[in-house]
Amino acid sequence: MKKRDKVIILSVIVIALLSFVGYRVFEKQASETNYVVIYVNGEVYKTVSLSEPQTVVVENNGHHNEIEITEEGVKMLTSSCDNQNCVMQGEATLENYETRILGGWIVCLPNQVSIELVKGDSNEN
Amino acid sequence: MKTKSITRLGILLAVALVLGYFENLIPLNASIPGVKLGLSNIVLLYAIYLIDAKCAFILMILKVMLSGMLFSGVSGAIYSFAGGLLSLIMMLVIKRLPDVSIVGVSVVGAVFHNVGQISIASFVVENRYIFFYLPVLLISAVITGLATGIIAKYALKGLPD
Repeated sequence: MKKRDKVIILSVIVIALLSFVGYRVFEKQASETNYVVIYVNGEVYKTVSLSEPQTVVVENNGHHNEIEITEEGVKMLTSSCDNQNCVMQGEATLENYETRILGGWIVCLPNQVSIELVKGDSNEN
Repeated sequence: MKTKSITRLGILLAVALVLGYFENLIPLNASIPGVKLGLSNIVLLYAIYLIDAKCAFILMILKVMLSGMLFSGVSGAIYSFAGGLLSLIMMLVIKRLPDVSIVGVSVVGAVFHNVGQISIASFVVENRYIFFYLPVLLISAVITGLATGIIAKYALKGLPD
């Protein structure tokens, strides 16, 4: 490995850390309650509070997604996409969203459905 | 195109496809979504270093089309093409700089492959918040880029040009 290789690697790591910090700083203002936002084609499709557990069915251009919202969190129950990555991303909960690699997100790229779990202020201590 | 070049291109394409298939067997994607080893970049590095840029572009395009037909489908191929194109252009640019080895070029390739893919992803789901995932993809690109770069370095030593 030559000198400039190390410069490249270091600068990528620095950019990664900066964008991580930047994202934390500009994170959306949380509301008081915990809620889930479902985006379809980039637009907010539905916002559901965790205090109203339910299963949301999204039908979009022949795609089919079922999203289960419980008091603890949210997960993609089933999806008509072929790679099933969204289902494998598992459940995003209030417990795990800090350490989960995707944070509060579950993303189904083929069906253009994304889900974000937003934690409220009221239960922080 | 000479027969020798055609044959060589065919072999390289086959190797790239097999490496692409092989890395699908490693379930890295299940634990860290969107992350893969990028083993077939070794073949592109070979083309860049020992053949020429034109050959590398042909290989990349054919590889994306064929693995789209065989494994990943049309939507997968669009992502691979965006990542592959940006990655290849940036690798060719960085290679021209002095004092950069194949390992550095490989890391740059991995980084821009991920940048290309996340850009398409954010365009497709029309959601800019998806860029929150960029740090994860950048760090994993450094690791996978280093790994494939080092493999490529030793593979090139053992291969005739």
